[in-house]
Amino acid sequence: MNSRIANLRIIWIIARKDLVDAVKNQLLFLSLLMPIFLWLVFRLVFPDMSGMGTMKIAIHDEANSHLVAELRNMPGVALFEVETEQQVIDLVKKQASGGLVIPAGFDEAIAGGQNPPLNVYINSRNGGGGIQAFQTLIDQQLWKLAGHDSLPAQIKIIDKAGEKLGMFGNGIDIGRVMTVTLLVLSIVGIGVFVVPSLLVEEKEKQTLKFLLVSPAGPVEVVAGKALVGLAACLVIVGSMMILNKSWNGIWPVTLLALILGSLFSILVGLAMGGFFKTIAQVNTWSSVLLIVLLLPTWVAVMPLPDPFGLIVRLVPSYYLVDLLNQAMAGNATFGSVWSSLMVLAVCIIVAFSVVVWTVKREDRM
Amino acid sequence: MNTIEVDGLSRTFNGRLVVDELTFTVQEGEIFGFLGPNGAGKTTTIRLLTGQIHPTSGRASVSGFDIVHQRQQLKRCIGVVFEEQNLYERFSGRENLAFSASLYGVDSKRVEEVLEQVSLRERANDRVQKYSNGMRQRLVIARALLHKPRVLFLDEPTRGLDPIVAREIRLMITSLVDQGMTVFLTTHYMEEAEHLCRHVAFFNHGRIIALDTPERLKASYGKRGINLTLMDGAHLYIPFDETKNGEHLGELAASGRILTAHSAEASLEDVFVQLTGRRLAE
Repeated sequence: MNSRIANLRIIWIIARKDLVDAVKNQLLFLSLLMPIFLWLVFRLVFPDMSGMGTMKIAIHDEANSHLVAELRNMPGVALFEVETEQQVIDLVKKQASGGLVIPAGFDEAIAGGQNPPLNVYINSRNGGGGIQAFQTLIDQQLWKLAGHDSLPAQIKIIDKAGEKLGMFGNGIDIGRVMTVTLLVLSIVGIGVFVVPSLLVEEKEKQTLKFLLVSPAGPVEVVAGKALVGLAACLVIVGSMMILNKSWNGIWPVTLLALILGSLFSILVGLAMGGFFKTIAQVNTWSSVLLIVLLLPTWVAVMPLPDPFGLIVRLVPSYYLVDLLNQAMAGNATFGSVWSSLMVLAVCIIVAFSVVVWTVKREDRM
Repeated sequence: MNTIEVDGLSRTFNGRLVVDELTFTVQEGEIFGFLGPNGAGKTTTIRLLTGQIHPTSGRASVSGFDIVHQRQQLKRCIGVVFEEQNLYERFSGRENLAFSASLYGVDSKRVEEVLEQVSLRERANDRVQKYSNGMRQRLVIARALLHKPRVLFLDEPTRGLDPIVAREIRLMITSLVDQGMTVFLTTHYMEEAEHLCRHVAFFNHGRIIALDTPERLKASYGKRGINLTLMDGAHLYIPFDETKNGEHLGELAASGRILTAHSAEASLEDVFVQLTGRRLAE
């Protein structure tokens, strides 16, 4: 027990030293702050991102319905009131969560118990969670309008799924794409650049020799670096989330995604640190790895046809992007996120095994 | 009492034997010189004895602790001065020592003591980047002394230093031994070993080829006699092995014909060359 406490103390001492050193190392410090800087620039260029996370509904209302009046007053709902049914369809194809076409005399027909028709447009490419939330909202408002909990209208659901789209759904929500990209950039950047740099600099400057004849062992050294990486991820990602005041995503999924993503990228960084001997090697390979791991965020902007789309799914960060995207879109359900969570968990186990192997190899030299 | 005990220690790297069946002991409170040319395996021997790497075969203990099975205890009783000046460059001298002190759980007052001991107190807050070679070396030694180790491993401690700093370092080593510390010193500077070490081991191609006191090694492999230069410019060698030669030397001294007289004993360098056919500086 005492030796475990001693080991934790040594891990903390090494991490504290590295945190101080990271501040003194201008290059490292600036690279840590870069995502926050990019985020601030982005906010400056696109100051109004209040629409992020809101449910966008396209409506063509020929009845001047109370349903629309109710929806107008609802928080978290943005209405796009258009002149024609075709405009509703176009919006559903591009960016809206769903669309409604309310025929003339709708409210009166409901009041008279005539069960009027109501065309509800969805786009199944938007993901099940968003559509479900949209449909639930419409059902609730109709019940409210009718004054009872059986549907007073003949709802006709029309799926307007367009051509194949990326994981960000219909159209490009620039705010969401940018937020997910910067979050992934922060996590992956810290993992594949900062963490291995901390370890490899100790090798290159021969200070690792000093550490290994001190009471610290390879495990404590590696754990100390991992702690710094985790702290950096928490601070940088946390700062970005705080700056993003209009965040309306699903918090538990977001946090889980960020924690798993951070763990994975830190473990990848530690494995790199175990293999590489010079900072030049780290810089070269971390750039390559950064491009590969950021690829899934670019796919959102530029959907790839198969087999390239399938190849991107082999990149572990695809699942981090998917989780963050679903969480931000507000349509994450256990059914829609479990497979991505499992893939990330398996990647973490594999990366952890590689790190353990490199540490044991170092210890047995 | 033996502080270091080495028995049949070997180490191979990728099938190449770098340290071959080393067996020796180092007594408490002595400076033990490990002399050999570059690439002979001196640093590997230090890495083995300090628990940085495991031996392929054989065993060794330092201060009673097995180098393989008691590494944690071993680490606390040794100090290591590496061949490289491996310091945290962006940290000040004081910060480097404070970090080391926290790793060993040493009181921060001790940092000030060792800074004083190595005469670095005035520059302690400067970044190591700004230190001269000599200052860095003193800081590396200070770091190794911080936790008051019983055994100090010094790997080429005066390499690349100017003669004045090298002399300061040697004086520091002597004073440490006076305080009861055991020093394991690798060097390829003959005079350094000759002046500092009680015992020296000649090391070549991973093996110890001779081990004794410097005096006995020189006596065994050198000549017992005296080289004279006379006033008329003539050179004369008088061996000590016959009584009549002593009388002859006395006569020459009495006649005032001797200009200079030098011992004809071999230097450690000569002994090493005789044993290996190589020079230490190679």
